[in-house]
Amino acid sequence: MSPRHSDLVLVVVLTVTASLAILVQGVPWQLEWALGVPFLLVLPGYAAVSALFPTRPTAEESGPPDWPARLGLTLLASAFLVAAVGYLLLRQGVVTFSLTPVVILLAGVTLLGVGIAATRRTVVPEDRVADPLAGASTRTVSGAFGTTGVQSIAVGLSILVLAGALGFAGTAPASQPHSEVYLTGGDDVDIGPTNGTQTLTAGDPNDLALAIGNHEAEPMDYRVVTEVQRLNENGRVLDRERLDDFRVGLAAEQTEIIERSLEPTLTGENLRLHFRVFKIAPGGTADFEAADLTLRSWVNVVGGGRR
Amino acid sequence: MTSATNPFVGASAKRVDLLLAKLGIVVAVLLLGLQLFATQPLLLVIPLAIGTGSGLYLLSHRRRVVGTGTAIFSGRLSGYLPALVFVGLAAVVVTTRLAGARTLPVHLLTGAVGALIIGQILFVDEAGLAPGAILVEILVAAVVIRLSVLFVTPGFIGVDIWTHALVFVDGIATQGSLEGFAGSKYVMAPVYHVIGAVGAMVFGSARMGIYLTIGIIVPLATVFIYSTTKFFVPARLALLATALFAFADQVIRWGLHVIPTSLGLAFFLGLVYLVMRVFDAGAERWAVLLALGMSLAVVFTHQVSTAIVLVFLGIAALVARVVWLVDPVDGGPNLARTAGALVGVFGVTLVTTLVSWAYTPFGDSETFLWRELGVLRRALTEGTGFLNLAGGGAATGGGTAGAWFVPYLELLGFTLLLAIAIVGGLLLLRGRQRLDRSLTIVLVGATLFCFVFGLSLFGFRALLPGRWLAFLFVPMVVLAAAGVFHLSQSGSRGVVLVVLVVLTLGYPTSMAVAEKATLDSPAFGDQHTRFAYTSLEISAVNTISEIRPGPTSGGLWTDHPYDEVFAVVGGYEDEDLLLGADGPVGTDATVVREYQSEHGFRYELAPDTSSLDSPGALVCPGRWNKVYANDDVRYCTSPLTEGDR
Repeated sequence: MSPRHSDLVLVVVLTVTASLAILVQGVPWQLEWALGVPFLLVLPGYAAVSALFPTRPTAEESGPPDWPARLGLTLLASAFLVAAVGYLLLRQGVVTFSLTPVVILLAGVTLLGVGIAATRRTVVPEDRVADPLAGASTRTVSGAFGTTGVQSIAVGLSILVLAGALGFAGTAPASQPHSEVYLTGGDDVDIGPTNGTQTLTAGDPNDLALAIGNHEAEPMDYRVVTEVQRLNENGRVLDRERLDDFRVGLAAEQTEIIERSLEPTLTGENLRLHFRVFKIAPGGTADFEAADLTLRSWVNVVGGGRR
Repeated sequence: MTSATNPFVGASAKRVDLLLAKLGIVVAVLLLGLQLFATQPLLLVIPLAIGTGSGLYLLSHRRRVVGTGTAIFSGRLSGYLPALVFVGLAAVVVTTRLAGARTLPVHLLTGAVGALIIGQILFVDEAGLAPGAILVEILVAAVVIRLSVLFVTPGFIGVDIWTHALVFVDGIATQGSLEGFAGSKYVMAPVYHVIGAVGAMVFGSARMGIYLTIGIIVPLATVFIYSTTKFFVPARLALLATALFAFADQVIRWGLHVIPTSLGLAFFLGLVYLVMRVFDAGAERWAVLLALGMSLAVVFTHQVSTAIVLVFLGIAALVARVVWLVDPVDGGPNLARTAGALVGVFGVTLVTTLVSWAYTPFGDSETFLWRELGVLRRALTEGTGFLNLAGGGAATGGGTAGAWFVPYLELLGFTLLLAIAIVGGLLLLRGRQRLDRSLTIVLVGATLFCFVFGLSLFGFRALLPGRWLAFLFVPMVVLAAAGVFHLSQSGSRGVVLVVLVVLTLGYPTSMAVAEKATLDSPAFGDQHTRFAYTSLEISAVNTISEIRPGPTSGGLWTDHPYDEVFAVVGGYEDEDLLLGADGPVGTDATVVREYQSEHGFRYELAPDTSSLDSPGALVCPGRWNKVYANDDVRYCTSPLTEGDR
């Protein structure tokens, strides 16, 4: 490997590897992301900056930008090239804007930049080539950090600790465990819960649908107790009738729409249909005193039942 | 810090710097008098900062001290400090992960990491100072602090990003076209959304597509501050400017709320570096062309950022031209060419902007250009007036004892920065070397300051001054670095040490707990709104939007900013909440979340209602249906049908 081009060779290898990782099915997402980030943010811009500035920075006022500025220009040039490639594909009508053409085109632009950089470097003296990997070693890295011996070990260990912490953060659950319940119009969930005050007929089956969603990250049983209640003006329950009491088990991330049929005998206006939902964890016992979730719907019950 | 030939000391009969310093004292006293007419923390801290900075400069400008040794840490101890920084960052990440959100200890730990970094810069002796290592620490810290929050927080942080991500970016990625843009102003500013869409295809979702592209670019672009500041001061102080910028609350803000403003800021950083490079090296072709490219990138990314770029380029071009005509000896090399190049860059950018805005759709039948001109005209004629300050906008939740102190704590960092930047600005005006470059950075800082604070004093907020603040930090940190340089060269050791210790401990801590740096989880939650949502709240939005979609059901009420998420995800119309003695009036659906009971919410009293004892209990009163519930959120509907109301 020519000492002039070790960085460019690395860019080529990473570009090809990243392209394959992104396009081939079955690659673990961790690897896809680890390669995808430099593929979008670093490699195209690095190739462009290397093509623009084949010589390494010097202490002179004029000349190529310093290494930190090159880093910044690499990032922004990458952003610009990604946007340019994407916009070009979106505006032309021949090729669909999708993953494969984007990756191929972006990789092509990167490799073109590498080619130009390699060509321009051929006329640059070897000791002036802008290859940051030239002469790099653990000693130069330690020198750049200004650390020696135990200090370098401490820095290395601390970087590993940070990497471990970031990996631990990646294990964060996607969601806090929770359940949700709601009244629906039935199987067609686009029909939302009804407004207003519904009318039920005493003594007859009245169909109703209740949905329960388990987002507890584990299987969960639910007990649902349904009552119709007569309340006074202050909200105190004067009379009640239990209409339903059932259990259902749901797997993690399962949502079930449960259709039930209620036959109230308690009649009257502005009665409260009250649903109490209890969560029962696997192997656990439920406290049926206080419901975990409640719903209510105001109803008028008509017909020949009891008042 | 050791001494160096001070490039800023020049022989000039006209001490503009002294005149301005004295004027600064007078202005500070006058501005303090405004406290009699309006209560606003900025009306105290800004005059204090101006007065302190001007006073410090006046006290130190005569001193001829050959450096002020401020090194405390020897090379032996300082070699372990980078490790301590990385371990500190690991602690920030782990505690955030375990808590599920940032807490006050996490914010303070973040501030401690910043103090460690700044302490290395200011108090390590020359032998132990490794600029490369510290730069790496700053950049790693900038990325880790922002991305750890982004990944731990469900959904998105902020308001606008929900639309940018779920409507525009996701639309482009899934439809493979720009049709989702049609009629939007972003059809002429698509850079952010196209990058996000490419990222969405690579990483699988709009959220990851934005976070793993623009979310990483924005903090890393801080590196330009280092290269820019090195044109003015030694590397050590360029690192200080970089650290001050990376830990600035307004800059962290745009690393959390990742929208086109964020990308505009990143491109602006590159542009400032390139323009300073043009001044420094005499308009090298590559620098001029890249500066033009960077300007045009901003034009097609974000309109407000474009306005800021035009101000910056206009000032740079004007200064280059004036210095070339009046005092070319004190300018940079090839000043005529520099002036011509900057005028050219400004001109092309301006023309491109005007043409672009004239074709940018905005509203039903207007273009962005005419709409904005109309907004500016109305703002100037109708909404302005001296001390017409922005309202406090508090929710119904009550404050706690000591709440009055919070704004001052949050503004401490900005106050310190402003005071030292004043010193730096006066220093740059004193020196005669590279007058073009120095004058540009001072005037850009002063102009942006006037746009942000000066116009706001008159109630003129049509230019969205809040969006300009992060850009203002760019010249401020450069000037602050120059200010520290001056103090280290000319101040008494005791005073300098006090200033630097206060800066080291006070700045990052204050910035870390400030409102805009903690949008996801405010350090003072009873004072500020949380602009992030729990997974339960997001789950409720998704489910309610599915079972009762907004376009078919009309509107619903919930608190702000939660209502914005419903508007984007479910297409709901936002309704105002009128509360009467029996509950909501004028709306038939409300969404209640626990956050409302903890932090309050806005409402209006219904007609014939004079007061309410427990408004929180009336949003979903017992007489209403409760048709959806999860462990946090409830969705309630009126028991009356349309005909009954």
